[in-house]
Amino acid sequence: MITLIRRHMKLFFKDKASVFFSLLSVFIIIALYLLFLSENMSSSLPTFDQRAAFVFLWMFAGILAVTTATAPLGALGKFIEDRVGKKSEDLLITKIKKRTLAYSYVFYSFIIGLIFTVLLFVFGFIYTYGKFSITLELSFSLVAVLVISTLMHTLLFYLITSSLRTMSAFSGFSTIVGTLIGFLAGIYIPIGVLPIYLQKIMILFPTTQSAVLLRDLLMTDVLEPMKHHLPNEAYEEIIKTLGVTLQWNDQVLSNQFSWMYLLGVTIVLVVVVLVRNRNT
Amino acid sequence: MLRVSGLSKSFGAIQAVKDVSFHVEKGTTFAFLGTNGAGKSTVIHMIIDLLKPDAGKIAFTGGVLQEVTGVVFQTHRLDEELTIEENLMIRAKLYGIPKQKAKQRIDELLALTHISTKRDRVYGKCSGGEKRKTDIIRALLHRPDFLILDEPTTGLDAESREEIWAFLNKLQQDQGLTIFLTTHYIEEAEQVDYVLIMHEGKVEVEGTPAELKAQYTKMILTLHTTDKKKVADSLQTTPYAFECDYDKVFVEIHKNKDAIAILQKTEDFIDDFSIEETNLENVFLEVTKQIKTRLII
Repeated sequence: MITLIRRHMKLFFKDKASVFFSLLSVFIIIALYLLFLSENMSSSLPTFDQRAAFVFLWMFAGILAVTTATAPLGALGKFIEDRVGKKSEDLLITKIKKRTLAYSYVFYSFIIGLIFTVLLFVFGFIYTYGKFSITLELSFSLVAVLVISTLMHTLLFYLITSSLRTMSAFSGFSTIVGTLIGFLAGIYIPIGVLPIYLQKIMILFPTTQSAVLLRDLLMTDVLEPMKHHLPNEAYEEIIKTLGVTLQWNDQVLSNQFSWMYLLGVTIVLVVVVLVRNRNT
Repeated sequence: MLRVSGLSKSFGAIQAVKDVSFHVEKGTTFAFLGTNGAGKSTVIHMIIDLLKPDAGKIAFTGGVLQEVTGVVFQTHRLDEELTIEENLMIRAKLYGIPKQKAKQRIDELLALTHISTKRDRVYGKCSGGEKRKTDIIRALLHRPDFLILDEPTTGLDAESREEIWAFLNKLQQDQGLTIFLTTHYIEEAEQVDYVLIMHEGKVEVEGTPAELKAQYTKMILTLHTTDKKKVADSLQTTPYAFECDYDKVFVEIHKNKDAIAILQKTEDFIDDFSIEETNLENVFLEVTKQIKTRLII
C-alpha cells in the first residue's frame, strides 16, 4: 500500500498540470477576492475595527473549505488516468489486491488534500499575522475540521469518479465541481442573500458545513469587535447572511449540528467505500 | 502448466470468446494467432484474472497465478514519467521482493537485455525497443515460470525483434520458461512448439506448425510459359488441379516429387518453373479464407 501511495504521489507532483488544476478553483477565488469580492463585501459592511481582517478571514475560511474538496479531486485524476491507460491492470497482476489498489488512491488523494490544505493554512496564518497582526489559533477543532472535511470530500469524489470511464468525463466533472464549489461554500454569493429553497439545498451539502465550522473557528478574533460595534440584531443578521451561522426555517443551526452532519456524512461514506471494496 | 477448458465470455450481445479449450505444456512456446478482434486479448485477460469468464475453467499448475505468471501487455503500461529503474523498483516492491534482491535482479536483467546504461532514462522518452525490453524485464522480475506476451514485438524494427527473441530463447533454454504468445508476425509463430488459430472467438485449428502446414499444405508449382493452352492440355491427363494466368500456370501438388512428372509432360512448352512451399502465413490465410467461404455459403 505504501509503495502504491508513494508511486501515485510521485506521479502527481511530476505532473505540474495536475497540481495547478487541483488548485485552480482556489486561484480563481483568490483572484476574484483581490479584484472585487473583497471591495464589494467591505463596502456592504458597517465600519468597525478589523473590518478588512473580517472580510479576509471570512473568505479564507471559504477557500480552505474549497481546498479540502478540490485538492483531493485533482489528485483523483491519477486514479482515472491509471484506469483509462490500463496501468491499473499492470499493478493488479502483481501480488496486490483490487481493494488495496482502491484504498491506495483514497489515501493518496487524502494526503494530497491535506498537504495543500496545510500549505494554504500556513500561507493564511502568515498573511493574517503580517497584515492584520492576528494570530490564528491552531486548535484541535480546526485540525479536526480540516482533516474530516478533506476525508469526506476524498471519499465522496472517489465514489463518484469510480463510475467514470474516460478522462474527458473526469475533466467535465472537475469543471462542474470547480464551478459550483465557490457557490456551495457561499463565497461568490453569501448564502443569506439566496432564496430560502437554495439555502436549504446548500445546507444539505457537507461542504457548506465545513465552511461554516471553519468560519466559526477562524473568525473568533474579528467577530468580537463587530459584535461590540453593532446592535445585536444587526450582528446576527450579518453573520446569518454571510453564512457564519446557518438557518433552517426559523431554527438557527448550531455548530454541533454542523459537526454531527459532517461526521455523519463522513462515516456513511467510509462504510460505503468499505462495503464496495469488501470482496475485491 | 496451463489448462483452459470451455472458456466463454460475452460483452452484452457480443460473444467475444466461445467455448475455448487448450493446454500449454511446461517449457514450451505456445502461439495464439488470430485476426484483430478474434478474442486473443480477452482470453489473456481471463487467464491473468483481470476478467471473469462467463463459463469455463482455467487451471495453473506450479503455484499461485501472480507468482508463476509474468505478463507483457500489448500496449506499454509502465509510468511514462518515471525512469526505467524507478518503474522496475516499484513493481518489484509490489511483488514483495526485498529492496536489495530487487536491485540485484534489475541489474541482472538490464545487463541481459543490454540496457544497463539506460536505467536512469525516463521511460516515456525511451525508444520502442527500450520500452519493450523494460516491459519484459518488468514481467520477469519475480522469476515467473510462465510468461505471457501479448503481441510483444508489434511496431518494433527487425533488429529489436531479433534481439528480444534471442533474449527470450536464452531464458527459455536456461530456465525452462513457458512462453504463451500472441503475435501478428507469422515468422515468430513458425518458431514455436504449438499454434492455435482463433477466429471470432472460436478456436479454428490447432497443432504444431509442422502439423498445420501438412494439414493445409497446397504446394504450388508455377510454370512460366508462352503457350498456356498446350500446357493446360498436357495437364488434363494428370490428377492435379491447376489454374491459368497470363503467362503462368499454377499447379497444386502435394510434394516436391510430384513436380517431376508434370515437368516431363510440359517441358517442351515451358520456359521456367518454381515451387512455392506453404508457410504458416498460408495456413493462417487458408483457415480464415475457409471460414469466410463457410459464412458466405
